[in-house]
Amino acid sequence: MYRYIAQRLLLLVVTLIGVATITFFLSRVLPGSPVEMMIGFHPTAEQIAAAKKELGLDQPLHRQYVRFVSEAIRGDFGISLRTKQPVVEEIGRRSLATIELTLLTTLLLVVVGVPIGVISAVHSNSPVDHTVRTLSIAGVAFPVFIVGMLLQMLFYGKLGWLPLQGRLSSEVYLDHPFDRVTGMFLIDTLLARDYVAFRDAAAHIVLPLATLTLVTLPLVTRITRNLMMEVLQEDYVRTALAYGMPRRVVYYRYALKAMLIPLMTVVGLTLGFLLGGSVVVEFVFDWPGLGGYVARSIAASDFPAAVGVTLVLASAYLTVNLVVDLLYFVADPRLRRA
Amino acid sequence: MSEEVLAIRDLRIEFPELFRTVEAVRGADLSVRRGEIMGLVGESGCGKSMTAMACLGLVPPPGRVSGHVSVDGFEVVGRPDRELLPVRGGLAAMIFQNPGKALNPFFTIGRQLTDVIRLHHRHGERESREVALEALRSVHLPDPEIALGRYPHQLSGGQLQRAMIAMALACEPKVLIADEPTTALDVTIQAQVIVLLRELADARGLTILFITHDLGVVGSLCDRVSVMYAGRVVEVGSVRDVLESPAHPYTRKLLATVPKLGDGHSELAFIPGQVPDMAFPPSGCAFHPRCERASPVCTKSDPDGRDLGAMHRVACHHAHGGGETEAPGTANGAPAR
Amino acid sequence: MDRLKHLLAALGTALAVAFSPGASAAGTVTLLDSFDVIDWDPAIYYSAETRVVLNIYETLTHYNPDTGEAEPQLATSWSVSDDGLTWTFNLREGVKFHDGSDWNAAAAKANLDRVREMGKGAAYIWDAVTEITATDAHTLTITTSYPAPLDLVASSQYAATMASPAALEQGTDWFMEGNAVGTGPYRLVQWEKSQQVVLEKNEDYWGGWSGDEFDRVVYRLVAEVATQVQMLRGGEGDLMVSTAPADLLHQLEGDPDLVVGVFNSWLNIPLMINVGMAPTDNRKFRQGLTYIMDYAAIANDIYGGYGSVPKSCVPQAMWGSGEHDVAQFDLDKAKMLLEQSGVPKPWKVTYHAYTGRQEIMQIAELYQALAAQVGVEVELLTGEWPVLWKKQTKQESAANMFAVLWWADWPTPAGWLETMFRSEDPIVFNFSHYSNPDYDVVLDEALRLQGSDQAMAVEKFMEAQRIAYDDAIAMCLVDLQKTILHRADLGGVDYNAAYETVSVYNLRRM
Repeated sequence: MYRYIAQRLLLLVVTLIGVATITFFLSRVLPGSPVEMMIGFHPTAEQIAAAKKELGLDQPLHRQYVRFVSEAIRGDFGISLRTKQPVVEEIGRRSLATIELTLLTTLLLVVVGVPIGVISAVHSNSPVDHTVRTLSIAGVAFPVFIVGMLLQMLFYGKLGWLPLQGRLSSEVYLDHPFDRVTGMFLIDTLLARDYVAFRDAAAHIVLPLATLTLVTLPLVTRITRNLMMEVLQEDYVRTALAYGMPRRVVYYRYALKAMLIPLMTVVGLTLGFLLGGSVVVEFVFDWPGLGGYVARSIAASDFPAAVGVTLVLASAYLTVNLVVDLLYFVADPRLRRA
Repeated sequence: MSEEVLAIRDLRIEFPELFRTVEAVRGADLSVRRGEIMGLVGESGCGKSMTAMACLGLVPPPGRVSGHVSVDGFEVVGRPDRELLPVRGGLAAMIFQNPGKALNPFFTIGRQLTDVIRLHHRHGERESREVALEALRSVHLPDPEIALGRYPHQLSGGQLQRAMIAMALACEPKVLIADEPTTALDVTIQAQVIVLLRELADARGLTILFITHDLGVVGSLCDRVSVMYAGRVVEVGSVRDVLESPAHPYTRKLLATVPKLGDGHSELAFIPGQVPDMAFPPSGCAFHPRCERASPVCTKSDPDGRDLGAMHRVACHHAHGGGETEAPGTANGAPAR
Repeated sequence: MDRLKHLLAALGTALAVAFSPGASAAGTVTLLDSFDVIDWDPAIYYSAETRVVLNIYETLTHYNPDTGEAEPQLATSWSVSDDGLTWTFNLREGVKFHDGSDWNAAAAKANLDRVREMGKGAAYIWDAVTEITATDAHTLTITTSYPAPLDLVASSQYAATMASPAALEQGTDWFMEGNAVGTGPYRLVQWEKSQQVVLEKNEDYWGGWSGDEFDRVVYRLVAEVATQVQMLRGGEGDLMVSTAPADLLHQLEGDPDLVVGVFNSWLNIPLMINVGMAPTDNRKFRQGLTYIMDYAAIANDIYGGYGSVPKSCVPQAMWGSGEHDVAQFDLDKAKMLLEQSGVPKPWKVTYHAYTGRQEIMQIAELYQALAAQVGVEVELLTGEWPVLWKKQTKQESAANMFAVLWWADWPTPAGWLETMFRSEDPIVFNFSHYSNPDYDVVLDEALRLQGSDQAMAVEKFMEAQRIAYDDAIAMCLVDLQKTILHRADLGGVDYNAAYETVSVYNLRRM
């Protein structure tokens, strides 16, 4: 087991080096001149040359690569050409906003989506199942931004219950400062015992959270349903029933345990997907997360940011995968070596 | 006549689909008496496993069950799930074809046994464990204490089937329903399981409904045998009567596919013609399209069972007489007599 | 169950208390913006930062779009020597920076020296300057190598704002953490990255306060225009700093709560024609191309009436533009000129259209459709602005035509006539690759004169333009107007073409 973990960690490092190298060279080969983007609309020829020198772009590619690697190892991805802030700092701040949103979404998906999928499978072909399946198809058909904007119109425009955008109200930002201990405002405001700020942060996260959950829910529900259906076909489920085990116990204890293992993969994949894929939600709700940063950096040929963020997302994804694999070991006795 | 532990009368199981209805069992009759081993034989898809599931009230949705199934005098058909819980395991315990899959891979053998035991006896953790151990011993599983802590993947197929049988025995059922319990096992292991079942039947007077497609196994284990075709029991009698003087043309063909009695070869050889589509079973006798003795009457009416001798019944318009071994007709539809 | 109910009720009230949509707090004005501040360093910023920082910083002089002249701001008066090479600025006394330090000649010198030394952003506007001297506490002397209109240069929105010398000493990194110390009516109190920028009233502002100004300004960063409109309607925002698309503005016309302010601007769109590659190296052919465009359709349809048909490639709102006999929409004339050009058929030109601004793409498509009617095939090549810009500067990757949205850094027609039309090597913005010594001579005279004799300079700028238009190196597509969408209860919304900002000092709640 320890050897396995060591192997996986080594693989992770090798993969990251590969990803870094590929993104580095891609970013230099692709068209678009980041320098011009960086120094504004009307630069002079001298300014362009100076900026290139400053960024080391006048050097041959292999030198640039060596410099990139040596800086990256020290955790320095340079300065974003677009926002001119240190990439590492910005990724740190933004990834926490994203993690706050995605972790909560994943939690909701597990708490809401999984039971719906299980119920749908247990009562397969019942009206409940048909409703769930129809809704989930309808849900997939709605683009994220439509869902987001509809929610905005309803809960802000029509009902006035929830804020439209941002992470906190202007006034709370100003008048309720709190330490950014974790970077996740729900936690930070609680730590600071600032309940006004906490309520404000909670109100602000509701709509992005709901949107992200609603658009991912159909997928999770459907996968859960299919997994559960498969498990329900298993002989050992029949065995349990044949020995007088009440159905509730069979479904929610015996079958669910078997389903949790593939489900962990799904949740892991979902988490990875959400980490990078919440671009639209972040855009619609001005949520200052990683997704919007990735999209804008790439569009602006901001290669320090693009490379940095690619590496961070890749490591996050790989780590989530590794954790899921390790959980497999814990959950499935067949994988454990006696 | 000794007491009937399992009595099935006119059992019908239908699965309605969108544009058709599959009739899995079409009026089956079966009777298993206390202390006997009854074989239930037929090709796959003939409804024998579904009949077994009906005994426990476990026909999966959207199946519709009608007729009567009584286990130790308890009428099963039409009962709600809640009332059936004590029947399952308690009155009729079942063992399955593939013990490797029939046991839950995520729990230890001990846990699975004690969970089941506690459902049927008011035992504490410790007592349940004792009962489980005792059951494992009675099926001659080596190192029962160790086996309790093992997960299914850590045991062999034969050991698992023994554990499965132990689980059934621990519930002290009135009848053991064994659904092809040897099919997935090696030949030598098969024989061991057969010997074990025979031993248990002899020693404890256990009643067994033994479902198989292998007439060879039937010969070495069972007291009586029922032959099922297309959802009906077409012939029933003592093993001796049925195997030595089969009356139904189907039974004969089935016998002809067994290369040699008792050699344990379990592959069912080819019977000419197609297994009927149970959504649209043939009119009259369902076997007539494949039957050499079939006559016009076979296409029109489904034969009722009739007695051939003491406890040997057959449902055929043109059943073979005692001792007759060769089919007289050659062409389909030719008059039989 | 009861517990759950309690919990839900608590949650409901929590959310209700947490969020009360509606008007921003009294004394606060909320401006909605799509872009965060990038460069906080006054010597570097060269983009949309002006929207915020021009309320914090001030310049020596302030441009008056009505007179076309510079007016006093941090300088109260100025004079230039007869040879046009020495400028003397008398600085306003009693002005303090937000950090309490005094505004004086030393501070002005520190700012301008730093800009010239760093050479970033729009530093080039000071290229004529040879030396800056603090003659006494409130007198600044600037000498130049050639006559340059320093009073106008000093009014520039880029590279001319004055920050506290103490702040300058902290350096760029300190500014970049979100610091700004100016003399303006508002001071920076918070920068919450990618969420908001907050300014508060500078009580000691030299211009004084009448009492009904706003105490607090929140620039709330909202990426989507649709979201901004919702916030305006909900009363959570007062004004949209970003320009809304014309079709959206028309949709909102009936809304009694919202008003669209329309102002003259220095934004326009020249369509540059490459004289260095076939077939547009043929002058008659180029002339023919200029008659193909439906100029009225651009102003009225694509820009929804928030634009006008230009009479020059310099916006009419800029001094020195003048009215010229530029091409009109006339397909017959176009066809005649094209035929006369002798360029063999089939006629085909390439056209660079950059993405990100829907109007630029619509114009390209309009041109393509019209050109097809006279037998010219237009091949549209699209890409991001930086990509196409770079391609257009090199003849081997350039297209025949390239339309760009343009403006001037400081109040001078040179922003077009020099930057885009004058010979250049290497090419930076001369997208026509135009190099005509006759033009260069006349233009250089105009540039020399604009520092000393504006009337003569205007004449020369006019003459230069005649040469360029006669060579058909560009089509003058449209003069744009600046539109500002705001709530009807917000008064004092004004826009000065020289400054890409809304002056919060003038705003009032009505």
